[in-house]
Amino acid sequence: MKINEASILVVDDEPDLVEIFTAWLEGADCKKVMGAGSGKAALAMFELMCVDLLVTDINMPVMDGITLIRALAKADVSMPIIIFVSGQTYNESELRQLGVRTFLSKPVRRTKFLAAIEDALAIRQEQ
Amino acid sequence: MDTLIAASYAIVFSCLTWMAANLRNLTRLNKYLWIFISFGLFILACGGTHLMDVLNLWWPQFGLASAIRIFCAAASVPTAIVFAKVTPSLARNIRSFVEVLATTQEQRDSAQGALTAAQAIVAERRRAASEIAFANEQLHAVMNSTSECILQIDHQWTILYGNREAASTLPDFRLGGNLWKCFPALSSAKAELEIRNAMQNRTEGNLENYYEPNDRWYNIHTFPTRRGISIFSSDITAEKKLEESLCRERLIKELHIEAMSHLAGGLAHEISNPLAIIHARASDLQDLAAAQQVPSAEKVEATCGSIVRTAERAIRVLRGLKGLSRDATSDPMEFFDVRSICRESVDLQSSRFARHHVEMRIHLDSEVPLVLGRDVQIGQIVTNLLNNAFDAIVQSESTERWISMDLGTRESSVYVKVVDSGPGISQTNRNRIMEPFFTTKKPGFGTGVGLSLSRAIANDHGGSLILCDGVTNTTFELLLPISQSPELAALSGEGLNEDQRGIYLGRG
Repeated sequence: MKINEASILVVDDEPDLVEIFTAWLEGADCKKVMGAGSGKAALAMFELMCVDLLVTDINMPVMDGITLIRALAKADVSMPIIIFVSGQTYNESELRQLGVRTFLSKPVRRTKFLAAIEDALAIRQEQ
Repeated sequence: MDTLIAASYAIVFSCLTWMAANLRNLTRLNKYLWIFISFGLFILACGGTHLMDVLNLWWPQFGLASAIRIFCAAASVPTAIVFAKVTPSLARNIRSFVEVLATTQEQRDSAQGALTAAQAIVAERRRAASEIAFANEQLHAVMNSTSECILQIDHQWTILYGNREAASTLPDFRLGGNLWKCFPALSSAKAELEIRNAMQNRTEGNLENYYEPNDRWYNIHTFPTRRGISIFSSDITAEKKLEESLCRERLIKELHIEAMSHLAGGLAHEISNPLAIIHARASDLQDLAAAQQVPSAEKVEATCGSIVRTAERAIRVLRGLKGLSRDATSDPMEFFDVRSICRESVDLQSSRFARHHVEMRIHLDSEVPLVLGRDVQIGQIVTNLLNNAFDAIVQSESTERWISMDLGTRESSVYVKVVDSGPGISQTNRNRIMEPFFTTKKPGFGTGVGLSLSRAIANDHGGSLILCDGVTNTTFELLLPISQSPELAALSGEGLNEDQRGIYLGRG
């Protein structure tokens, strides 16, 4: 799947980062980019739309990234996932089983971010 | 020659008369006294006849001589008759008398020996008594010179002995009194149990005991003795105070560690997110420049504005952390503005609170006077109260999510009141909430030393930290006394210019 065809959801409790990632994706010709400030808000958005790729931070208030991914797996919603980690303890194999394709850490450059997006969308196409 | 004989007879008469006079008190010889007299008169008469023979040579007095001779004859006859008659009896009596004399001498010798032995025993006993008295004196000197209180107690708990230290330092000491009546405060469970154990089981014991009547700590040793027990107690108040001080310092350090560990998780977010934003914004500009693309002035202004704001946010976090991470127990006491401390603590956490949709309601009175103390430590208390309030809210499912902070003046204190919309604290937990290591938080949210040590710091400042009763929401109030320093009492933080603030607050 190409980036201009994909529907991508960016979840981060830092509004500036949601804005930056959204701008990067739009700059790469992605036409359907949405942002959410928490895992709980992201879950609500899954009710309304189809998401081809999820980009989420691991550490968020109200509902963190891991809880969000587990909730999606429980609801049988599958898609490639990119997760931002920053030193927290997590079970990598569990997350990979739940669909996490790439682990990124902040700060990240635009080129690396977009490369990870394209890589994940390639998987999505295979699915 | 006759004169010499007469003189001899006179001497013999005198001797007999002297003997009769000295023997008259001896009962057994009393009946023989007159024989001595009769024999004496006979001898005297004999002497008289010889004297008259001498006188008759120059001055013949034959009549007188004849009369004396007749008297001599008259005296000789009854003397001879009676003497012959009583001689056997007299001989027996004399022998008996001599034997009595011999027996008496033996007895006297024996008594003398016994007396000498008794005198030796008495001397030995006197010497031993003297040595005991000396040893006793030495023992008393030692017991009275020691700084330990020494009590000797019998099986009926009667105080048999107390040294000088005990008499002077124990206010209710009374010789002969009952231990428990004299020292009722000693009847604390631990001390009483230990002392009674020593008495009953005849074992040594040791304990540390706070004695309230004179506000001192004692190290009490108990030793079983033949008559009961001995109690040795030494004043360890200074050591205990030092120990408490060290313990408080150690616990305050633990507060720093807890506060730091508590914030460590959030710290990554508080610092790494702003850095990620700055990095992303700056790298965007860098990429544009590398691609020889010139962004619009609005784009550059917006990007740089975001970078500056985000950097300032990170700086505020770091400024707050700087105070929180430092051990300020050795800082000097200085006048500081509590309002600034409250603002810094709120700034430190505001981003985290906002992300969790926790509203901060802040009311800081601008007329609050400066307070004497260690600003970093007070900042640690305020941060700790905010942390607790935040944890109470995020761990609950409450739809209300707010924390209020009020700063003001009441009577002679400055107060900082922190209220949260959390579920509140149960009555059972309210009684224990200030105990060290007691926590109602979930694992990983705290070790429970924060409140107890915050209170210790507040007490060190002459203030207090209380959990308010009779209110719906959990309310903690930190009270700090307003200094009576003449030049500063009238000044408030608002009234100082920047230079004065620098001087009084110890900050530039």
